[in-house]
Amino acid sequence: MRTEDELVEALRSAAGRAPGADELLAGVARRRRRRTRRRVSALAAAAAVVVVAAGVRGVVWDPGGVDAVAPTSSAPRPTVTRTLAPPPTAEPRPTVTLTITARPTGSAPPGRSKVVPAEMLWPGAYFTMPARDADGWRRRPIMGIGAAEVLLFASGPGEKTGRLEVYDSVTGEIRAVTTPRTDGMTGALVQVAAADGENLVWTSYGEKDGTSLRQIWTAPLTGKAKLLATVSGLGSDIDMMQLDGDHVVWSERSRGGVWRMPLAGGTPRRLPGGDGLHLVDWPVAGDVAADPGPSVRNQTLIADLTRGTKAAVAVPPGAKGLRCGRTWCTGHDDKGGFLQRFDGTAVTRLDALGSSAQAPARDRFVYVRDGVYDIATGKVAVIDADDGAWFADGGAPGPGSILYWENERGTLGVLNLAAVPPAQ
Amino acid sequence: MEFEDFVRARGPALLRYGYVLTGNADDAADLVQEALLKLSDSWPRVRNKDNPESYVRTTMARQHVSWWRRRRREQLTDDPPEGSYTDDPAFGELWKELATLPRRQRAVIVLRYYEDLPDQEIADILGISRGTVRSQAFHALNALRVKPTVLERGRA
Repeated sequence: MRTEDELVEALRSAAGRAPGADELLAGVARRRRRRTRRRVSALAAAAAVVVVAAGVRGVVWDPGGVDAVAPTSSAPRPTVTRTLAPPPTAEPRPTVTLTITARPTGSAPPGRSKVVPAEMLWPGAYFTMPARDADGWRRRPIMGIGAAEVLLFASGPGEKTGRLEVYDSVTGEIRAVTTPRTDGMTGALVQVAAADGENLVWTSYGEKDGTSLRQIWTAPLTGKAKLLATVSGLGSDIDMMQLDGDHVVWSERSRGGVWRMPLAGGTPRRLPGGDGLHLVDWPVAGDVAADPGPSVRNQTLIADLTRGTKAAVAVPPGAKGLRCGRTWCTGHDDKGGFLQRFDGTAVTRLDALGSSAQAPARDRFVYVRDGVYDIATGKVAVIDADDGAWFADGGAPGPGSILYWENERGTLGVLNLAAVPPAQ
Repeated sequence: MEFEDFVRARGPALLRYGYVLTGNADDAADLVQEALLKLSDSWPRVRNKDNPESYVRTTMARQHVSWWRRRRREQLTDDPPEGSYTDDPAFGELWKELATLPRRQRAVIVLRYYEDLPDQEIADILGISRGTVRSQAFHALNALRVKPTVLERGRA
């Protein structure tokens, strides 16, 4: 293994070979002259984009590389063309390209194929929305609120000012909920956030008088923000927060431990039986932080904090980074990624898919390199984004799990997993 | 300070940053010039109210992972930059492997280890969540076989 210092040194050394700056000003001047011409031709370019989009080409992975033991369909494998991906290590990893003929938007998913563009496989879960508001503020989806709404954070430069909003994918309307404030602290306005159909909670981080503080705020979706609690010290690093009716629950990253307090106010209460645990998707908790990170420690138990039950996770030999929801776990070993039930059964190899380092969303969906693998059907919903999709981790891996990506300039594509129909 | 003075003073540093972001000289020059063009449009405002260098660096990072990638699809370079550091084969190999990272992962790595920014600031610059920064860094370090010493940089 290499060290971070070697990485820093490699970057700094390489920077020394950057090109000279002699031509910079002249280059900027040339670009300014060209820009006028480019603007004139922008309309034609936009038309060309539409033509390209009509023949969607997704880079996906070999569905044959998935040794499905989990529920799958008996669909025939689509025709694939094998190509070589750039070798990240000494051994090239094969990937597969698959050309999919797109159908008009809103049509049924193509036949029995297992690898399908997301907007065709789940048309009701896919929508687009403006990436910026009228003031030019950038919008960042945080989580889904049910099947139709998405919680957003719109922010100005540097996220020093911002606004929490709700986007309705049916009407296309965006409504402002509240404007977070930090009460004199300097730091992130919104770090962890969660919402349900009625309320919103979020944390702001900052420093005041040299002390790190995290504030927990709440607001009804129709009302005014209220400061619920301010925490400092070890307990201030919150790895996950969710709503449970008229309560908010959260867990600490460093020590573990799950807390709960009423939205009406009061004193946070540390949940008995939650010592050392981290919230996964209330009331499910585990013994490692559920948000994605570099830790390869395996999750070894699944707890239900309302029932007071705990189940051991069957950790296979050589497994790393095992992360589980109520039923399903993903992890990786020397061969690649895999999926299994928490009891070690129904193992599915995801080697060629490149699975992510978090528990399956909604205990059903595995985020893979270019889309989402549906455990319930064995299908892969491909997201046709040039650089893949981000997952909005406000709701992950819980019911608010969504993915978003940049579409054509100025719009975001969103896949709201709450709107995916139940498996047949 | 006038725009031209800023470019003369900070151009070399911006090109170094562009070079580690993009991995080759041509793309670095393109990226810096595009970002400077945008800066020149906003120069009266940015000069008086903001930090021009921060503005242009943020522009470069965002451009690199957004529309920029649509102009030039993944271009891999097998050519490590020439120079004395390539005498150390370990660094040359690492530089080559950086070229195999997806652009957004590379941007996170550059912002973290070249710009030395905390994860929250990287999240702000790229307009993504802090968790996504951590996830991207995790995958990139894994691919580069770099052992992380801390879970997250600048974490609260």
